[in-house]
Amino acid sequence: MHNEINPRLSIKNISKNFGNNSVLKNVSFDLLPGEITSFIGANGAGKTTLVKILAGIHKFSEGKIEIDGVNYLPINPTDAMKKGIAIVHQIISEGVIEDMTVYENLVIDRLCIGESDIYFNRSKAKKSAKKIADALDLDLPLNSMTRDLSQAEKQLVAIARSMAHEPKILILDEPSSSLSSKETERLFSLIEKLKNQNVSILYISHKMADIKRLSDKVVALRDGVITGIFKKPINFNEAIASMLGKELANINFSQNQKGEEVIRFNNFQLSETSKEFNLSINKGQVTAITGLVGTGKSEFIECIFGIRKQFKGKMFLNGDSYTPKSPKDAIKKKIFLASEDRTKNSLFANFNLFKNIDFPFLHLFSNFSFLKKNNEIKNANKLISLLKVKCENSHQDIGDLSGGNQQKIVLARWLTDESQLLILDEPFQGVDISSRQEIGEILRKNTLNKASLIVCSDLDEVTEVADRILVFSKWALVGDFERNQFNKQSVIDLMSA
Amino acid sequence: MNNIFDKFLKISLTYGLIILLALQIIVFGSANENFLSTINLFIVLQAVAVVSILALGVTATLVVDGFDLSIGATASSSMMLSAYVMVVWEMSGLSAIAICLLFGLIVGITNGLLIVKMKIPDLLATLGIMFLLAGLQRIPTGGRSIAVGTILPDGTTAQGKFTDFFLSIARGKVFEVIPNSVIIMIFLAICIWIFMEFTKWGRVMYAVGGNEQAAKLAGANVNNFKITAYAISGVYASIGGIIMSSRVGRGDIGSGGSLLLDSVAAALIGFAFLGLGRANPFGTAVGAIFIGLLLNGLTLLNTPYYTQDFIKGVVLVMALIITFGLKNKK
Repeated sequence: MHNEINPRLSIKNISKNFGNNSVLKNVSFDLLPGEITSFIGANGAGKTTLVKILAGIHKFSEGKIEIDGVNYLPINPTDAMKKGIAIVHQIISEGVIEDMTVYENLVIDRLCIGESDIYFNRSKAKKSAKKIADALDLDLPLNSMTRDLSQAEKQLVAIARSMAHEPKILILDEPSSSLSSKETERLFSLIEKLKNQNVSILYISHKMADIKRLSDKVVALRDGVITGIFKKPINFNEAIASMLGKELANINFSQNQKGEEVIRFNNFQLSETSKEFNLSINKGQVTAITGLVGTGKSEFIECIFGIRKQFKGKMFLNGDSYTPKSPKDAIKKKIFLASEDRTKNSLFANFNLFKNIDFPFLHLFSNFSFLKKNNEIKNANKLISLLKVKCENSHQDIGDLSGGNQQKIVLARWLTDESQLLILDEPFQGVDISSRQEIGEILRKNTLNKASLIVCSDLDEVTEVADRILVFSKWALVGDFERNQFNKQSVIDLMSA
Repeated sequence: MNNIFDKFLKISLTYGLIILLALQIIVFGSANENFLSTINLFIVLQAVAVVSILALGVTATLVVDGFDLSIGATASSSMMLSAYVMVVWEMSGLSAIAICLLFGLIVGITNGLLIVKMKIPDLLATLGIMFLLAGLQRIPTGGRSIAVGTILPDGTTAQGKFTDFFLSIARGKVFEVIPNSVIIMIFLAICIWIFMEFTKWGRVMYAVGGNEQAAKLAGANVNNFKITAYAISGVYASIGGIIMSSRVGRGDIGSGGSLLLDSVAAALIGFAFLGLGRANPFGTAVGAIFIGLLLNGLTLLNTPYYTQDFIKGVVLVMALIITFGLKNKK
């Protein structure tokens, strides 16, 4: 191209560390005016961190960001907004104030910044709100309470609200995740309108269909590193492959053989609109479920653990009908789950290591309900050395440990007692490579007398640890491979179909 | 330099409350020789008995990350109820105690159910119950206090009286020195301390307070534990009411006005104990005694009574700064 367009936003060699944990490594890419760039990556890849840096919430550790050639170093979100970056967050309720009318929502930022009179002039506010909506050709019920709007309308209000500042760059973080396909269409036409107004758009999504529809460019991030930048014509399969990991990890791997069946799913259907499937999971193997985000993997696990009820179909545990009503039921039947997001779902910040480890199994460490602390500590020490947790002792606070070691504590918890089925949902999120491999090794060693099931969207991680790989798409099982017949390309094709 | 400051900060966070307690004893002890006498110390303990019992109860709700605003009203209702049972219904002291305990349990479970089943935020649910009880206790007597010979709304005169056994609860002494109410307080403190620190149920309660979602996913029945916490709070408050009733020998309308604030203050001061930064029964007991000693010492030094609430407020704010403000800086 002769007349090279100057980039609107230029991210140059950005790195970000949280303590010893490096989340972004040397990330560089540009956004051009009037271009929609899709930003893809598995959970925990570092997308959110980059967004937060651009939003002025986090500071980067190294590198440089420029907007229109001018150094960009926001001190807080308001500053970021003033400097031309608008962000619409994934959770719609954070983008709008539900207890206010639509027009109030559209002008609220101006009020907060203080560029207005002391008195709130309703008719003036309505006028400027109408102007904002008209500029985007949006037909919004300005006088309605925002909480009465549909999800899509709320999302449009959130976008219009951030467009009121006439930003140069709009960042959309999974804007379509709670919208129906018809609603999504409405959102897309707005996004395309903004594109024509020369706004640079960074679009973050897990939905391949949306990405295919909108993208002028795709940037793939994996473990904090840019693994691919794809320009038109975009090869989407390549893009997915680089987001999920390209080359098979080089580790010693001997396939475990299938043992007896532990759990069976008959005519299992997760939601009203998804397809039904049959499946049985066996002892002796590590089985992995993979698939893009939002394909029903976690929901499937939740059915097994008694958190959710399937739409249709039956589960059989050792041949007997199995209908768990709560996690308590599942744990009683020796089915254990280490949920995704350990900070939110597993760990107790107010507990030290040994209290975190044995929490679900206090009955094993008590006499007449009185805790036997020495036994608790003994158990913790045993597991800490088995899993090579890096810590001072079992009295240390959980918050002092790195992500990988925290994850090991979660695994230690569920190895405290013998299980029939051990489920780990995204066990490698925010976990460094060496801890990941150690966790995988322990998992494989400990699966002889039980079935291990992991949910994992990173294909490299899957091939590192699993004997059998199940692929989910559209809330149903679409592929089932033994590791030795496993072909990465066919999995990617199944995933993105 | 910075290092020394950090160390100082750490020590003051961990032992601040204990150091202040020791300082109090030294200062007041040297200023007034009566301060450290056995009799005076038991006076202090007796004075804080009711407040600390209520505070220990509310600690249970704080542990599960809840709050019980109804403890003061539960205690005063229980006081009225015990008087009513003996004076109007002419029943025995033992039945008065049993009925009050049952009443406290019902109030606690009601609070728990409102919070767990109706999903009403804890502060609002217990605020509602507080109001309800403050009003309810006035209805049976037409807004009057109950004492022997009280004239009832229907014009008749109540015939019953406070039994000697019931009056001995607060007025009696063991070995002629230790007031019964102090014994009860210590007993209840030890009970809840053992329950919270040494049983698996206590561990689950702390877990529920720390991360409710994680506790649920680890198989804990979170709702039952929350209800239990409010039940403990209700029962402890009703015991406080029984002691108040026994102490004054009548059912006093409008008594216990400052009970809620004093108990909550004790529990919150307890957060700072050993730098734990969270509710714990031992800290609560220390917090209650801390306030008791402070007020007693200041009284011996002839500080006017009307400054008491102000002083309590200052202590509470300081404790909260230690617990939350400095902790965040660390």
